[in-house]
Amino acid sequence: MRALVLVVLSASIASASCGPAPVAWDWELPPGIPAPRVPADNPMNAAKVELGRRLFYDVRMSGNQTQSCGSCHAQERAFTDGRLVSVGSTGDHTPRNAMSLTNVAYNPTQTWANPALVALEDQALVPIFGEHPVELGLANMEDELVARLRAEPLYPDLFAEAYPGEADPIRVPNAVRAIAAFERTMLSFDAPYDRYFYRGDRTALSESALRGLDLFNSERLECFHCHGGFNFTDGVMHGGTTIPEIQFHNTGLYNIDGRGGYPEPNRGLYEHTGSPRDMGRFRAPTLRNITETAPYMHDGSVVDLDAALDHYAAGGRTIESGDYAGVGAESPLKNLFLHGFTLSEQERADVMALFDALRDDTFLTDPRFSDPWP
Amino acid sequence: MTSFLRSSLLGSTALLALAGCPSTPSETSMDLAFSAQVNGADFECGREYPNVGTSGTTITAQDLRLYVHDVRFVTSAGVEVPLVLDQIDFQNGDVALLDFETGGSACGAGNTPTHTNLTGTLASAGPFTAVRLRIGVPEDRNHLDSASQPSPMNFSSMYWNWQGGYKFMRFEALTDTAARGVSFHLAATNCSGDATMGTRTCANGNRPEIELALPEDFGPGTHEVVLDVGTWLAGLDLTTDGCESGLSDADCASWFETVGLPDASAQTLLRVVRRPTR
Repeated sequence: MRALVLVVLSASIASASCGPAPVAWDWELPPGIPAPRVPADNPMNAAKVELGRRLFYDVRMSGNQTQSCGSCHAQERAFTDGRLVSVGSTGDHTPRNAMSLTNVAYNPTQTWANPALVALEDQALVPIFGEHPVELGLANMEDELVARLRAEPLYPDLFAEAYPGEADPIRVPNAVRAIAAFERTMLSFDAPYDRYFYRGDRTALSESALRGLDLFNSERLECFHCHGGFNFTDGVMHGGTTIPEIQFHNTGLYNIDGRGGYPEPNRGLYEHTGSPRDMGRFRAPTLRNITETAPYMHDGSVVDLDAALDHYAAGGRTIESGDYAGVGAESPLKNLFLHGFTLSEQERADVMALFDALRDDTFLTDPRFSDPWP
Repeated sequence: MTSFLRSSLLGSTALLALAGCPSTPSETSMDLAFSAQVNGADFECGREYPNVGTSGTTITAQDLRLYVHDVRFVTSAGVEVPLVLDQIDFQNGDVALLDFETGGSACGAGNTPTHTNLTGTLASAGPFTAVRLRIGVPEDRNHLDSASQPSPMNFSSMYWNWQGGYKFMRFEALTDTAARGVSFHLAATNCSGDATMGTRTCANGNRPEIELALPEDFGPGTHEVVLDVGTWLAGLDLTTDGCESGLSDADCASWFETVGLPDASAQTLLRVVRRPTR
């Protein structure tokens, strides 16, 4: 009897841990790209994604009904806003540059430097309800938000379809889950780079872009250490990831005190851990669609890709004067790979050609990600 | 002793079957423990250890991880019995990542979980006189897109890139004798072909074959494999920045020697000791 129990137990555990995971959603990924991870409590379905898209672009999602998620995450800019830092619905400036939502489903952590913010469902709460700064400005307005959503003729059916079996599905947590589900569908794998490497089109990359890729992957430029893999970042979490690697890097953007200091309130991971070694450490964003997301870095202080290359070529940024003066290249905290390099004019053009080849025009214009409201 | 060993091994077979995928009853489970130390003290990120290397360097530990594969136990008759690894987070196919770092600020890269035991099954209960393993990732898995691979083949800090393949071993420490600290990244070199077309191969495999003699009374519960950084680097000058496996890196010859390249018997990295009472 005991042996039988053991056998049954091990068989059931084996089926849970060894069998293939059920496939519930067609991500339409090219071969070789793993499916994103989906939280068990927020399974994908078509109604939920459509609901999330509606909510993402719905100004009723802000306190004064002037902004939506889409206000700072515009599709044609790969879901960024073109500003140095974003401006909330009441005029508050956030301390940070709006991050691209390209392939956001694969991020092991969200935002620039928060090791604890893992799920998109949790991240969405920050702009919706945050008060310091106010972004969408819905703090303490949950009841009014629900009343607004109930009043929209499209929503009752969409919520009911998205959350089958729930008696009263128009709830704030369900709205947030739907937005996260929509964000998970924002997958960008149709750039020339993808057509070349994943879809077998050996004409998709120019000779210049291929040379740029070799430079990108060289020990001279060292770009690939932090911007590697299919998503051009060093933090990827997909359906098959069991242990995420969560990394943050100091790139010598500032050195205001000779000890590697970054100006407040943008001191990166340090703000969460208090560890001096974490000063100025931020997450490496994906480089997909990077040509569309200027200005760059956590505070938007790098105006374009040429300036970004200059920064890395110098092994850190030098600021000549003012409060932030300092030589980033001399920061004791900067990443090991920031040793600087020189690029010929042709080589710079080649690296730029690679960046161009990471622009996915399908993604930037896909009607499934566009604003559905009239 | 042998019968005691056998019964304890069989006992843990049942436990392992419960914890993971099923195994067939004729197999014997094996749990080979590893321990990372510096001059006898436990290896911990952020901890300072004096007097390492010929330079008498004080090191602050940051990272210590290595891939191993092709693990075999050798019987007294000289027969190699492969260790079929349990398929768990740190073990996939016949590749395992031994991971002694714990993530966070002190470690600099990596993640919280560690993996210090090779667990699996053997088609024989022994007795065994030696264990053999190779450091690194096998050639046929060395040039895949790491980000899409199963764990433990998907850690970006253990990977160069498609063309470069994996870092077979990663050791990093801050030192009081080199401004940038010291690091050792072992990898295959002199590669050609296109990884994206599946044709990439490396002329210098740099996968050391390690043989560790097992004492007569060897048992998984009583012995462990020790990687003592102090012993490993005893003959090296740590005033330089270490070795990145580059073909033109003059420091690499002496670093390679410590892991058994090209002379396997010269390795100072691993040894089997009786497990101290803890």
